Amino acid sequence: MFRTRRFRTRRITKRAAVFVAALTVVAAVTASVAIAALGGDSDPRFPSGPGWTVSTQGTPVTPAPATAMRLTDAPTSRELYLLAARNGRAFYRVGAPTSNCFAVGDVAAIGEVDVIQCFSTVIPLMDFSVGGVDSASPSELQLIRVEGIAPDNVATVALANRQGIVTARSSTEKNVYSLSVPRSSGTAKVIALDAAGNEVFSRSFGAPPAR
Amino acid sequence: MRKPRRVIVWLVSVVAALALAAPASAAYWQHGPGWLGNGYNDSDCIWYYGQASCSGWSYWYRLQYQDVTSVCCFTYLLGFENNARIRGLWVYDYVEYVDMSPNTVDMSGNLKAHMTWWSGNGVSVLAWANS
Repeated sequence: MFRTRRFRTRRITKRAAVFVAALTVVAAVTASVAIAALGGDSDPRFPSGPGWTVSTQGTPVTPAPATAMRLTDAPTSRELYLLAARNGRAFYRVGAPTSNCFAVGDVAAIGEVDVIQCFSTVIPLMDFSVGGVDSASPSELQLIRVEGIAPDNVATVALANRQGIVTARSSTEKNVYSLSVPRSSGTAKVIALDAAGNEVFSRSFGAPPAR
Repeated sequence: MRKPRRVIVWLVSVVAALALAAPASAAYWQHGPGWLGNGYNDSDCIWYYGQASCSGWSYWYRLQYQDVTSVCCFTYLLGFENNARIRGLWVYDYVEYVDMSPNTVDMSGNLKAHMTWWSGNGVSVLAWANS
């Protein structure tokens, strides 16, 4: 009886060991996939290599309670680093640099963010621009803000209208861009330029869909 | 004889407190994971019925998005709307996650959260909001 029980115990222990080993393997695979995802797989549509990173480290900031709560859901660690303050807006990096997560909030409330956005990889324009349509002119796209994060190789960000005419431009500072949107400019796209003034990327906002 | 009266008063107070607290009660809205594109009809939408998914009216304080597709090349507008305007930020296929408040789009009050197909492929999306 005793031998049988001991034998059973050994079998159970062996099974448990196999189970734990299997679980460890699954966890390791899951973790490596997660790390790869957080690290940002390269995307052939976007430039990569030297200078296509956000090198500004920023200053650690204590998140406001509401922001701390929101950070728990973001797919990265919960640290907040202030990259720069421009045009009344505060720009942050969230978590590890490899996570490509950034946030923006009001400069009057450092540590409190309005929006968090995470990107699959470093994009020439990690854009936080906001726009929309109002009932006064429902066929016209109105940009409220043009702002975001750009990698080191992007020196200037410009806006162009539907005719391709540049209506506003601003140099990046500490990997941050923020432009005042010209009223009634018919802004159609935002353009990233390198230090030599070459266009490296552009993004069209498109026309509002027909209602 | 006075005890039941006290209990009634207490109960009325509790009910009144709960009723007053009701506007602050949590509401939740979620779209997906599910397809959203041209031809998606949601009668809750004010602005782009036929290509958007929208919540009901509430004092939403948080709207989130999680990428759930490997399909390329799409643009959605994610944000808030009321009868006067629709606003949002553009979500592309390379955006993994968004967490935004109405402040992001300079809006507040009683709003609808929305995710609106803007251009490109219609894909499976996941968005949710809390009030």
